[in-house]
Amino acid sequence: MQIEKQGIPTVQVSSIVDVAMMVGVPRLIRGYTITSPICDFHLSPDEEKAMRRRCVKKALALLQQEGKKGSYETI
Amino acid sequence: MMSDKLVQGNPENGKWRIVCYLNQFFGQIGGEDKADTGFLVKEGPIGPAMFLQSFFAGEGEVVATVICGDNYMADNLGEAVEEGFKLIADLKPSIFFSGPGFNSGRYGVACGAIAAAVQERLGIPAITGLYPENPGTDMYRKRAYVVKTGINAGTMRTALATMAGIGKRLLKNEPIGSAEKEGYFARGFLKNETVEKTAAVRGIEMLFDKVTGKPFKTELSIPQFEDIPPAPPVNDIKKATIALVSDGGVVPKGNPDKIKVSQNTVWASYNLDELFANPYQIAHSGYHPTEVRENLNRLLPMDVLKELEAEKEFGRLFPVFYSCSGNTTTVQSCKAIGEGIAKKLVEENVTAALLVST
Amino acid sequence: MKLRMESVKIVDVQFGAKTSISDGVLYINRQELTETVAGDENFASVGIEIVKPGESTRVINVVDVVEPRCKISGGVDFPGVLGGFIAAGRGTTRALKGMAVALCDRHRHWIHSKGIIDMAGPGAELGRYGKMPCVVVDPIPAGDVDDHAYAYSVRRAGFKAAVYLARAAGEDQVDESVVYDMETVYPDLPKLGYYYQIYSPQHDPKGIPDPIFYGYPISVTLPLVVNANEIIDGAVLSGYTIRMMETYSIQNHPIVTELLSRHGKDLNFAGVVMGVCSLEPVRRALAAMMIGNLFHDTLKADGVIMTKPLGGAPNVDLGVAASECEKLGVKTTLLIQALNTQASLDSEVLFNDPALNAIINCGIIFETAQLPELDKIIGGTGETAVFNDSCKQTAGHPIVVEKRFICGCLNQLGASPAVAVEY
Repeated sequence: MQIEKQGIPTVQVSSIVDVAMMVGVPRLIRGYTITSPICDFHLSPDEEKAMRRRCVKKALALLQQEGKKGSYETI
Repeated sequence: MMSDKLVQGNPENGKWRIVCYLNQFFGQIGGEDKADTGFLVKEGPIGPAMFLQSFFAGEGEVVATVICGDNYMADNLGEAVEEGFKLIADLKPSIFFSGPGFNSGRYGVACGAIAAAVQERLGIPAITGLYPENPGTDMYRKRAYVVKTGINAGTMRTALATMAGIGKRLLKNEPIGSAEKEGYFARGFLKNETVEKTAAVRGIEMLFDKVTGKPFKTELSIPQFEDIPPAPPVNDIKKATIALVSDGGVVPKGNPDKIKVSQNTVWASYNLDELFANPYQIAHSGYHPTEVRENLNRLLPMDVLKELEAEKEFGRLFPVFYSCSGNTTTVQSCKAIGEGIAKKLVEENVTAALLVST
Repeated sequence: MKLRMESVKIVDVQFGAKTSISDGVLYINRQELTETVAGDENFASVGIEIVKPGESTRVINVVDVVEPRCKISGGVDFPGVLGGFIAAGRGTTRALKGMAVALCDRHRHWIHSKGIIDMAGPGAELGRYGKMPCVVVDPIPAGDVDDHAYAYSVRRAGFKAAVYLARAAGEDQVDESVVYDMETVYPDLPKLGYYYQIYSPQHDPKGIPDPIFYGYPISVTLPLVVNANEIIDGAVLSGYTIRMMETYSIQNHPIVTELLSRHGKDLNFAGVVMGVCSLEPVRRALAAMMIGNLFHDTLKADGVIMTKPLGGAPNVDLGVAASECEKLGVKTTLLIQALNTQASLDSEVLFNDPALNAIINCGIIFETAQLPELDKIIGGTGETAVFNDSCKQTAGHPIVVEKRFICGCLNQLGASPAVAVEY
């Protein structure tokens, strides 16, 4: 939030969206799990990477949108 | 922040040197019409300082009372505090009291500001007294002892007695009890104490009261956060420089910046290519890092960021990664770490940041 | 379920020719106890020691503390670990009160999850077990054994010792007998339930969860209803490491026993839902929904008291579950630990639903204590490392430890009277 305060937009990937929403994170993606936020590690390497790519593309898309507190996107 | 043990100069005549600070009204200069009055130093105790003197009978004497008008302080607080601080320092106090300022806004802030300066820079106890809603209370309670007072001077005697009691014990290096017990505002520390009943018994009593509609009082409360408006979105993603930030505790092998595995207070930056090319470790004891150890991209998606950068999906991946460890870190430390990283991102002209949390 | 719990008060523990109890003194045949717990391929040998309050002794590498218990009828000892799957919580159980079995784990893994029991000085004041005689079971690993295999053997050794010692008590030595009756319901009294979050997989060494429910690892289990009697009769056990929930405190579960003792007096103990912390957000939402439904529709509770293990992630998880209960009109009280000493009483909770307005303060787990050098070290040597994130230190010297490592000082289940106070 201190980065937002400086006028730099952020997007956060977090598996504990409840905390991120409590603090007021304006662009939020619900992570897969605490120990592997970006992707599901049970998947095959290719599928796992595809999921990572989906996550990062979604992050890039969110960065171009107005921030909105109290909600999150899924990967 | 003040340490719990203060080193005192030993007074020559065996009496502590007390210096007090009052505004124009309590300093007996005049009312609102005299609020522009600058600093005055009067020898000995004036007004409330005389009461204070009585609590130190034989052990300490008020050597001087420093007085200043409320407007003079409020109009240029920083410079006025500096001016007052010099006058106070010259008086070589063993202890300093300001106010009490009750619920007076300008006076309360002045009392807190000057007490904080004296305590932090002279290393002596500095004590003031304020009403809970006085803006000075939250501003300064972590930097000096702020005793809880009533709304106005009707509670002067009680307030001064509490202030003097805490002051005396600080001078003698005697322990000060909890905020609630002693009547000061919490200074931002928690300590364990023991109560009569276990948490389980208290919890069942509280639940019973809640269910049966009886009054109950929570022992911990939900946090309040500063409402920070979102930054404007990225205008042109094709030109955007995006930095990667994570609280997952990724550091090069050896943890050169000593990021702590829990209750961390520091952040560090590492070149992403070097980080990925060399052995790394996880300075975070809040999760088991099997998955991240197997593949760091699961926390820092470098592989796809590089791909998307090459495909011109965004301008540039900032080559430096900002790392900290978010595990039982205090809100205070989180804020400081955030401020530090934010300042750096501004300096580096970064457009936007991708934050990944474990 | 009905459970008869028989108590035998122990005032002293000594080695003797025959394992027996006389006038409150437990005599132990050391050789026989050693043989009972040894004979495991993962142990080279097993040390057995008695430590007593006031002795200048520090027990280190402690991974669990167990109250001596044996099943007299209606079940088996530690089902799922020592015995087969016959539900705990029925029949008669005999317990030795006022003493404990302390278990040491000398393997190198997870050094920052092992506890200390000081029998003298400030450590003894702070902890629960420095105030009672303890039998220390100290198995020495056989060569380079696997961490988990050894840890499992250590656990079994502790339970075997607990059963062996409790068997010394005859029926005529029982001082007190209490029946916990969860069969009778009292529909006119306020119906209070308990949500027991027993585990969080966030720390699983090598991703392998600890076997804590009937000896079975249940890190991915969705919420389930268990009988209160099962919990205090050996169905739930501590994990492999000291995490302020040692088995002794589960056997004497402070919430379950308090609710049981008030059951039929001024409240109706509606029952227990057990669960584990979710690391994945989807699972968290599902589990929270189920917890709310189980209390509201299955147990028909008016209110629920909730506890958690570990630190931050379970704190969030518990808050989400509590919010679901409150939405259905089931009132909640949560037991939460403060983490840091530089904090305030409104900074230590990781949820902000205003309905969660009844939170119990269980003390600060990272507060440190300075402990002096003591004469004798058990469970390791004077050169054995004792965890401190900021410095290297060894057991044979004055040490600084976080209070969570002083066994029985703080407790996630609410057994401790410690509270965090603002300064």
